[in-house]
Amino acid sequence: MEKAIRSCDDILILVGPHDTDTWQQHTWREALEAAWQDPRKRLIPILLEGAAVPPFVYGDAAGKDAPLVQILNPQDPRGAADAIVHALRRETPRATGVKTDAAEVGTKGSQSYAVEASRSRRLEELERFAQGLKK
Amino acid sequence: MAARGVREHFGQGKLAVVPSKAVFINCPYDLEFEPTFDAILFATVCCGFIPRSALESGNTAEARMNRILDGIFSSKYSIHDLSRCRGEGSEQLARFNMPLELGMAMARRFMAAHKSEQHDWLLLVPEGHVYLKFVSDLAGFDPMRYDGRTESVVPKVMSWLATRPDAVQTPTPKEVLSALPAFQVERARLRHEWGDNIPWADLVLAAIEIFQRVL
Repeated sequence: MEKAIRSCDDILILVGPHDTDTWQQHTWREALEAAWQDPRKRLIPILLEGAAVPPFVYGDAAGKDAPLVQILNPQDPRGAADAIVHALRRETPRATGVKTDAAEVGTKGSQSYAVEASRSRRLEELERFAQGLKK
Repeated sequence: MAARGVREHFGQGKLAVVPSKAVFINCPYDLEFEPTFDAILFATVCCGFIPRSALESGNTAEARMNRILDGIFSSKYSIHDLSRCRGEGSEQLARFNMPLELGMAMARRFMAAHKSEQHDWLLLVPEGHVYLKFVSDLAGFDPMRYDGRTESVVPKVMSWLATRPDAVQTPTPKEVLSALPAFQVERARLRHEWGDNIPWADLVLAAIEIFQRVL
């Protein structure tokens, strides 16, 4: 699996609404390390059933500019597949802005607010903690 | 506020830490391992987590085992390095504190009432380490291998922390490694001030301040 992840051009990160299991966490870890090692590799989240974006997907070099796919109708696999293919195309700088009944393709930037807010809150928490240590 | 001259204890009172944001670091504390230890501690802070350790209470009257248990049981995450489980000295004896403490962390995982509270641990081993020959029960737990350099251990620690359920967005390992020397300078200053007994709170505080200043 590690070899397969490192040899591919892009990595699709399927994210469901439920907790991740250890196998999924292991795969995500490998994907993130692969993106750190190769800046051309994009981490493309595929969000299922209203799942939240995991913060690590912003760890690739493309960051907010990489595509993000939201599956709106899981009963339409053909429509979902079309959206994913659209997201994977590299001929346009931003293969985004497509919305059908089955799926929507946007950029990771469109969903980054919650991730940034969560990071800001954590930094504030660390800062408060540091202030406590100073006293 | 603490009375003048009374030092607040890390992990208690105003310095209490929410377990889901705490990482217990179970690694050797000797000089040879210090660069790796510092890299793990600093990477943990840069990922938005508070590092905890058996060193933190500064209260030598409390048994070491109690301090370790307290640290593990008040942290949702822990990092264990088995580097020192190898023959040393003329008798070729290995230190087994690290596997013992890993066992405590594993036990804590099974004691959680809810899956979201389950303890999660990262096992680090150097390349070529023969840990499976003496702790064969660890087969299948997939430890992270690194080559002993900070450049190798930082991405391993960061990729693990960045993909935990309580993670926040992190900098890249490259950014963290570029800021690490500033932390090492601060650690040297603290050593000059405190000798080998640097208060854990001061060390964590230094890491947080450098993280906020540089990254």
